[in-house]
Amino acid sequence: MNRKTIWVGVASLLFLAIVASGTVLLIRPANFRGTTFGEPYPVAPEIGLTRSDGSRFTLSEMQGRVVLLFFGYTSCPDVCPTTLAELKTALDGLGEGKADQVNVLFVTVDPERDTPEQVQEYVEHFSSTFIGLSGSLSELEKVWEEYGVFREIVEGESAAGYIVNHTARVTVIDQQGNMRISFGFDTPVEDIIHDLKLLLK
Amino acid sequence: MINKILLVSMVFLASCQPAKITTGVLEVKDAWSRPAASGDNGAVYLVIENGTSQNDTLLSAQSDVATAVELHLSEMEGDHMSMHHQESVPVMAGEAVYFEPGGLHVMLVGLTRELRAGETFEVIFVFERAGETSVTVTVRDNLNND
Repeated sequence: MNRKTIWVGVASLLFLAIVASGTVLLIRPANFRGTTFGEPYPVAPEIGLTRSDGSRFTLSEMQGRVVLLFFGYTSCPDVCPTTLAELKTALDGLGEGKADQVNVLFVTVDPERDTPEQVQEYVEHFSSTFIGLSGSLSELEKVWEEYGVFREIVEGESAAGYIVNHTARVTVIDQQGNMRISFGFDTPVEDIIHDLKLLLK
Repeated sequence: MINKILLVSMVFLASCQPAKITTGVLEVKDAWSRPAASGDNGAVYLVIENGTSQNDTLLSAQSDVATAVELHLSEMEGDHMSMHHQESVPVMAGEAVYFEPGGLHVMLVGLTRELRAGETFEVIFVFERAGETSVTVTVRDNLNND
């Protein structure tokens, strides 16, 4: 083999490598950064709760829109405000055209203290587009159970009365009403923006 | 040559360790809080730097903006967030303690007034050795506008 042949060989291999990696990048499926639900995607269980104006809210109203679902309570000083502020930042990062297709739902884990009005007032401190929901204990227990929400009332930790320890994970429901992604508390806002952009494509 | 590699590794390892703070004073820095409605609960986040050569302890905090001020620690156990009241928070000599979202926070129980973005309020911190120190807290509505 002379030198020329070797060079042609190397060049062809390089060319093939570039083409191959390009193809892999092009056909690679969308990669979410959050925790994904496998296919077939689980259908998000129906939610029937009360809005601040007393009207009934159902999750099926949200068909065609992306829903970010979070469970918390209005006396929560740290994790709930942090999550809601991050979701607001994420929506701002999507830009107007896309953020309009997303709803944030905040469902209380503390119906004893959180009326629908209080929950709505609380979430509106973060964004006027957020929806706060409460309901009767039995209605909520059904929702918590179906979404696997842990909830525990702890007395005596604070002058604020009891504390509610709870699941701090955001569930993303797609336009077809399927559960697609969930974000743990420490998820960077950039990752949430990234995943929502992919879902809204 | 081996000596050189050893030296470089040692310098590198040393730089990985948090440097001891040697300012000679205990300082409470970068205190901030989120906007919140009157009657709601809030949280103050901050950094305590103990630049002295002696260990200290944060015993309590007080403020006019809340009916009570408590020290709390949020902990994630898997996906579950739980909050624990702290009687006090130790601050070792030469070290910093971070009060951050999802971790240690100063809980404002029952806000006596609304906290609006851009406003400030005072919190008095009581340390075992350093005594009382008044800290200005800035209300910020966004994670990014430091």
